[in-house]
Amino acid sequence: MALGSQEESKGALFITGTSGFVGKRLLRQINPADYSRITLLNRQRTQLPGHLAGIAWVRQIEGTLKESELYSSCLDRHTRIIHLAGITGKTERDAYFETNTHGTEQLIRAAERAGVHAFLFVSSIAVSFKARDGYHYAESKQQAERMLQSSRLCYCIIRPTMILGEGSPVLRNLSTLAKGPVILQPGSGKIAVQPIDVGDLGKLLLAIVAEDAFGNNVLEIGGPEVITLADLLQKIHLAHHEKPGIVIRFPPGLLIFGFRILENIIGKYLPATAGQFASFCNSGTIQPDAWWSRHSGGLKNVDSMLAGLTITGPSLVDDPRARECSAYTRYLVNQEPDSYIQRKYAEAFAAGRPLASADRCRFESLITRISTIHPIYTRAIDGYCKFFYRDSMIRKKLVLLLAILECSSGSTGMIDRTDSYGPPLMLLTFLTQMTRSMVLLLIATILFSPIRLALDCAEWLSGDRRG
Amino acid sequence: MADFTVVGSGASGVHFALTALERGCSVEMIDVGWTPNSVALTPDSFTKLKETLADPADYFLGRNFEGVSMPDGNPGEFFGNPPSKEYVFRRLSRFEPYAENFAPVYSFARGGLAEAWNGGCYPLNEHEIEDFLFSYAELEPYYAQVANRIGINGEKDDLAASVPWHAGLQAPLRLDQHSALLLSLYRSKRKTFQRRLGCRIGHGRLAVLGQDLGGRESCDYLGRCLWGCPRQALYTPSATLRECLTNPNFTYTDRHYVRYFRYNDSGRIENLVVQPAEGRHHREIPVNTLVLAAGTLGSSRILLESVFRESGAVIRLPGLMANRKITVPYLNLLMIGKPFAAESYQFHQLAMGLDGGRPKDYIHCLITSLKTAMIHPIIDRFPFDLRTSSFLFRNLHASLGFVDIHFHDTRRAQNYLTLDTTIGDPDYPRLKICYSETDDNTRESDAVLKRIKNALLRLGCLVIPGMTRWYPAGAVGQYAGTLPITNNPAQQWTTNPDGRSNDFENLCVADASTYPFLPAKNIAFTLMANASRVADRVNYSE
Repeated sequence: MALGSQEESKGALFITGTSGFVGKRLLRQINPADYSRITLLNRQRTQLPGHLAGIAWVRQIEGTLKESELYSSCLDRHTRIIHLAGITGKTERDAYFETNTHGTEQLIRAAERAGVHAFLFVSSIAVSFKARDGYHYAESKQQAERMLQSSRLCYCIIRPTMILGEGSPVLRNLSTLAKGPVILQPGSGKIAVQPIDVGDLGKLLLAIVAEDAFGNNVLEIGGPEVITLADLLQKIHLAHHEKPGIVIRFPPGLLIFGFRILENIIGKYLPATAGQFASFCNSGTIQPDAWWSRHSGGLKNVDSMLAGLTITGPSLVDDPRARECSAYTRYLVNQEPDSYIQRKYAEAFAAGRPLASADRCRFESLITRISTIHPIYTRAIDGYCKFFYRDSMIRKKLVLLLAILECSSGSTGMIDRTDSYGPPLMLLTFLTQMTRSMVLLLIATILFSPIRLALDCAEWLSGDRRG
Repeated sequence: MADFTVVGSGASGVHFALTALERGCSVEMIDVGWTPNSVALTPDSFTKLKETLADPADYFLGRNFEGVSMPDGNPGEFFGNPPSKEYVFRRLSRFEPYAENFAPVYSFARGGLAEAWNGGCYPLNEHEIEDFLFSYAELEPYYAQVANRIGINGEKDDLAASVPWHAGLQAPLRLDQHSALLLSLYRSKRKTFQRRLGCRIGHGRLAVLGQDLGGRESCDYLGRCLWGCPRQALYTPSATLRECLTNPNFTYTDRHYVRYFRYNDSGRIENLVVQPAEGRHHREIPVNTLVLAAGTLGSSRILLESVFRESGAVIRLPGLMANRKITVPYLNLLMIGKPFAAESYQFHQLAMGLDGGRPKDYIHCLITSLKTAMIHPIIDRFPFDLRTSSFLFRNLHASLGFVDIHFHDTRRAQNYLTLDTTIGDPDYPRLKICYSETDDNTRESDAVLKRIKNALLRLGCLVIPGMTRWYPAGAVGQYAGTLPITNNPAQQWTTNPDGRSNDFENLCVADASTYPFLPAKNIAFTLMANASRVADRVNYSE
């Protein structure tokens, strides 16, 4: 595409993975007037923030990194790439490499062919961990870094530390350890961490682009404050409680060992991989360099990050609706709810949907609590309710959330976009899904039917039934 | 005083008014006329709207999430009415009819019930019209006139054997892949379908613009027909009302409800009694010629209350007719795993006609491939947990569809409208609807269902077990027959073929109350054409 000289001076931006935690925040910080063209590549179309919606030169492409034919025409010598897309959290080993390594490789090749101006790759501080055996996420990122370093592109690799802020997956996991009356602390807690706020990270990414700071370099980026993991857990605890929590330590090495054995047997049903516990064994701080030192003024410290979180966003720990919304969204569309989904879910209850905000009986309360632990439990309970507890609140909540999710561009594709299987593979996948569904239903039926009977009888005898 | 005082702004009312205005007469229209609160007018597609709207859930589900179809609710339609169409069904509690075994559907919206219709425009053929005491040839020019006014598309194909081809039609819309596949399969087995099954399939006749007309723009396949087309490509009667409003001889009084009319001893109507829709103070409007176009339930209720007020008599209007409808969801095996057409005309694009015992017993079916829709009610109906159901749905979306089967109805004495003055506020006697189906109806429905299943099977489609829906009587919203056309002027509560009342000298009925037979087809188009015809006839006789 031919650009005028003024347009050339602005340059085009190509960003991958803006439906993720960092990407969504970055979009809110972009000034569209600074760029001649902004192209976003996501697996599913996402909800654009208001200031980007309807702007002619902001375009979304729905596709994966591997589908370079979809996006290669958007790359040219004026383009700067911010590559955020990647698989994080718990998934299978091959999935990390498929997206984080091979997907990045495809993007690098397409960028080389187009002769793009510069490539900003958001990697992870985990790449610099010394002990990361079995941490497939870090390994996949490291391989991607090497591919970029051996390419013909002008690049900058950044390795952010632990990223906090509204909707932070890391914070949600840490909250699980610190939210209760006692703090579950991995090891001695002396591991140093240097969290960075997601908003600050966005600012720094845009600063690199604006300053054209692409010197084929690797920048480690963190917040201004280094604290121990123990202190961080205590701060998170204090965000929800008035007094410091009692600490119960558990050896992370033992946990990693146990998870590694279980991973090979029931990996799909574990809440995390063994490798993910590497963060508890490695220092998560940066090697400051001149660029970071120049830009670190004004970055949020840990208290600000946590204070901002508890003031502005619904707390997953304290707000049962937010907890439900998070668990149920992960069950329905395999991703965390964004703030819009969280807000609409809460608004629905405020508007009296679904019918009553209180769970009606002890059994309902019990399965509601269980259903928020992990998506696998949600699925088992959903199946049970579909067949044996049709007027349950959980089913209504799930349908309500499904309705909200189908309205949001960030999640509608997960519900309503045809998978790219052929009919035979689709049938096979469906049979697998159905088998899983039936097994869970069977387990849930065996487990919950007697409990329900007992609780209903107890309520009937005590005349305590409310609903 | 206007030449005509028209009650109601639905399909009949606005076309009567426009024709009368075109003849140089003056028209006053009285209407409740609810209007929508807000409509997203950006010309974005259904998918794009989810990105561009600041609060898409507010638009699609409503401020109070009333658009969410909960598991404990009724199974609902595939296309349940969205919050943006809530105003079409907003009621007046004081005038709520009393009905047993009947689900009345009516509207006080500006434009009437057709503000939430599917655009189907199917003219009646000579057999369906044989009881009307006027011929198809007499009505045909009005079909053409209305087609030119509102913009209807269609194709002269096999369906023309049952759905007459007339002037004024535009080229058909682009078919979505699913509909195109069904049509090509039908055409390759045409003889089998016609001889063995007595079945014909063709393009739907749709009130959707293929080219710009007046201030309305042609269809751009945004997939937003249900929520309200921002280009107004899908015709609704409010567009004709807007056209009327540009005429200086037209007066529109909205937010008013017509209670009854006062007449003198010689049967001449002198005044119309109206009250604010949200108030209780009556006022009287003198009338020259009164035109009832408030729909069968509305027009009949006005007449019933008028007679009650003047004479104290509670009369019955026998012969109420209502279409029956069955919806049959199916799975097109040839479309499994294909992406669904999001940017497409949303409602039915194909129609199917089944021969009945007699030519007028024709059964009319609409074939709708599932495109854009709120999908959570469908996913919820699958017999699995939501995760599995979602997986199944997204891979079957393009292969899902449904056939709406519509049946005709005949006038029967046991089905009638009357007033119930014994319940509720004595100042507001309520309309009472008495309607019952016959065993013949059930037998006919079963037989037709078998034929539909057979036809679908030959098109590579399987009927989804357990999802066929039988609608309660009245749920289609098409009623007729309470003030029927007759050639016997001495018969009470009837009209002549020109819509003139045989009981009141200056009363004219322009809606379906006068129909002596209710065909299976959507009658909205015939309502428009016949109202224009009546306007012409009344005008000449005046």
